[in-house]
Amino acid sequence: MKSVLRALIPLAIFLALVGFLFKGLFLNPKEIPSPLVASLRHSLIYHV
Amino acid sequence: MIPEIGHFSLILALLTAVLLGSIPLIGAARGNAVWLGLAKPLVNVQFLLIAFAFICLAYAFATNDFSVAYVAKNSNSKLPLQFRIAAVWGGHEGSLLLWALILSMWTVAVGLFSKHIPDNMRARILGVMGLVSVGFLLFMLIASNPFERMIPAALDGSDLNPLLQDPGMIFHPPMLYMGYVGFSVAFAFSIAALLGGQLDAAWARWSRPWTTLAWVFLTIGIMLGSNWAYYELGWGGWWFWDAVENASFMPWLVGTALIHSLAVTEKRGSFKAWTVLLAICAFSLSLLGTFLVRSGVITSVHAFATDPRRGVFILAFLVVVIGGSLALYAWRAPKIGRGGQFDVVSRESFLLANNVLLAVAAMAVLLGTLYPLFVDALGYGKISVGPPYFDAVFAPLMAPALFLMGVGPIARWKESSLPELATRLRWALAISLILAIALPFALGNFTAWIGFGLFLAFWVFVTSFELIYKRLAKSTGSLMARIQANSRSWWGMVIAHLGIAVFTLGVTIVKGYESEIAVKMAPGEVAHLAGYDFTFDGVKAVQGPNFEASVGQIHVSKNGKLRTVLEPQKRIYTVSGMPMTEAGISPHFIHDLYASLGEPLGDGAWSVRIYHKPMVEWIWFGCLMMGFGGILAIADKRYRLRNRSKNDTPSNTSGAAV
Repeated sequence: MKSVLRALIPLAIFLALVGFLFKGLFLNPKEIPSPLVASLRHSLIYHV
Repeated sequence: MIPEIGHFSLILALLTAVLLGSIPLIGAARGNAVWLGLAKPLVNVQFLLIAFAFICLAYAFATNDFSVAYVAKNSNSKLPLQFRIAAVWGGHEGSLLLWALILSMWTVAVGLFSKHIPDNMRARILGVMGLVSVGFLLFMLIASNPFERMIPAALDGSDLNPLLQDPGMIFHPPMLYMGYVGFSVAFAFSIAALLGGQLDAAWARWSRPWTTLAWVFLTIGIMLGSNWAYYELGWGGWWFWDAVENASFMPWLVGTALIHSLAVTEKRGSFKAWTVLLAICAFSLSLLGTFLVRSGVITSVHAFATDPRRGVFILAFLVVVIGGSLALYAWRAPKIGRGGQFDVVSRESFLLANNVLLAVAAMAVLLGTLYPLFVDALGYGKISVGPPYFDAVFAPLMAPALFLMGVGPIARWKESSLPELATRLRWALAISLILAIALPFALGNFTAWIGFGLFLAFWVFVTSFELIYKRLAKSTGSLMARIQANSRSWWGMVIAHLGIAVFTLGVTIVKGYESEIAVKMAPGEVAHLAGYDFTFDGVKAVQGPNFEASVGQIHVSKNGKLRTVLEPQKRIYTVSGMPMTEAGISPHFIHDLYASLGEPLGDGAWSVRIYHKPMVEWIWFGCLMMGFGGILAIADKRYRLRNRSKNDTPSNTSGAAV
């Protein structure tokens, strides 16, 4: 029984992750710029 | 008409994939030889249909058929031919077609080179790959049709994103996809083994070269992407912990763990459940990467234009593929035997520790990548997770992993002895410590961080050379005979480990000693950096095929002697009006000299950023060595011998790597 429960852990983690990913589909990630997007902007604007 | 034929070909490919995903699996369950035998022809037909669809789309790009919406959106009549072809995978729909094509190529390869595998096992593997193919083809036909017409047709296309108009676009995505999709083979082997209840050393041996090959492609794909970003983005970085970079790095970390875990399963029959879980996770993380890029749940410069329908479809696909395989794992794993027992101090233990560190590192990267989403979804506001988190979490996890790389190959299987290991490694430890302290002082800047990074790099170097020396000393005959006395997979392991050492050395030196200046430079003005004089000679206008460029001339000299001329460019792409930076780089084994142009500041002056990057090329050279090591491991004689044997059973693999 213990080994069955242990084997179920990856599935449980995945299902929790799916919940967050589903919620994420209805959020607006553009409000949080990625570090690379921020760096790219920086590369185009030079501060001399 | 050709786009319609391509579209029809995709529909036929879907029908073929449905047959491939059902008939061989049912045949394997019922022991029906005829149904099992259908797997191979179905695989070939599926490949031909998808390849034909791909050619149709490439033809539409090559002939500027702007009545196809995808072509109109991602190409332009002024786009050079090589980029028009690369534009086939420059957007969401075409890249999905490339994914499906590569998946069908891997499936054909498995059909061709797995003749030694029992028929029912091979049929299950091909069937599982067929089911994965069904998902991608269905996704393409329902929500991402690359052949959709545009009525009326556009007069000209909107152009390929200028960031993608680079040779990197021709090689990086196909290589990366070869890696991502290649893990579907390891995944299919695992699912087939779980379905058939055949998780033994033979399964690990069959699966291992495929996994290594996928890992090689992923390594080279990531390397190409890193190098591309380095010269294209214009600020000299080579890794940014961007969400989509992380999406490729996570399967790499888990794939690295998988290669080592498979070695233990093959050699000792241990870690079977863990190896299966890693195989499922490696491919699952590749699929998760696809979701992250195409669903719009995160922002990234790599992200495609998003559509909520696509996100829902891919998520449903993830639930079916990953959820289904993890449910199968939960059902079957408790029945999998524990395999060979081993002592706390043994090669198995060291490999397990390395596996755990790699898996935890992958989870840490996943957490950092998705943390903004978690926080947002729970209503705790908007936060961004950047390099400080990843650097702080990743380096401490990788440091013990690098240390174990020096110990693991020396330890004995089953049972080893700590005093014996300590005796054998004491000189390696002493030499590594001395070099790690002496080199920074010689370079004029010692910090604990640099010293520690150098120690780890030298540790892997010295222990690897010690291993080579001991092995060669044990053999007899000429040097070539001694080299050949050890298996290719062993040499592959050593070279891949040396690649990690080269990579670590490059990362440590460039992070510790790089320097940069941002200056306003008028023609004739000189800037000084790292002992070099950079003389700005102004810019000249150059007309490209679809851009106008201002090309700077920077003469670099040292002690009055001209060393090189850097020609950084500032391009304006005429169709999109988008500015792009093309760095001027003088690459060298010891250091790169790097310059990028900013904005014109009047009177012929420009803002210029100049970088000195010591040993930065070692980062990519290290990756190439890792890839070469992987190829050497795949070329091992025992895999070829097994190809000739129908009755493949666990056997002696002495001299094998890890």
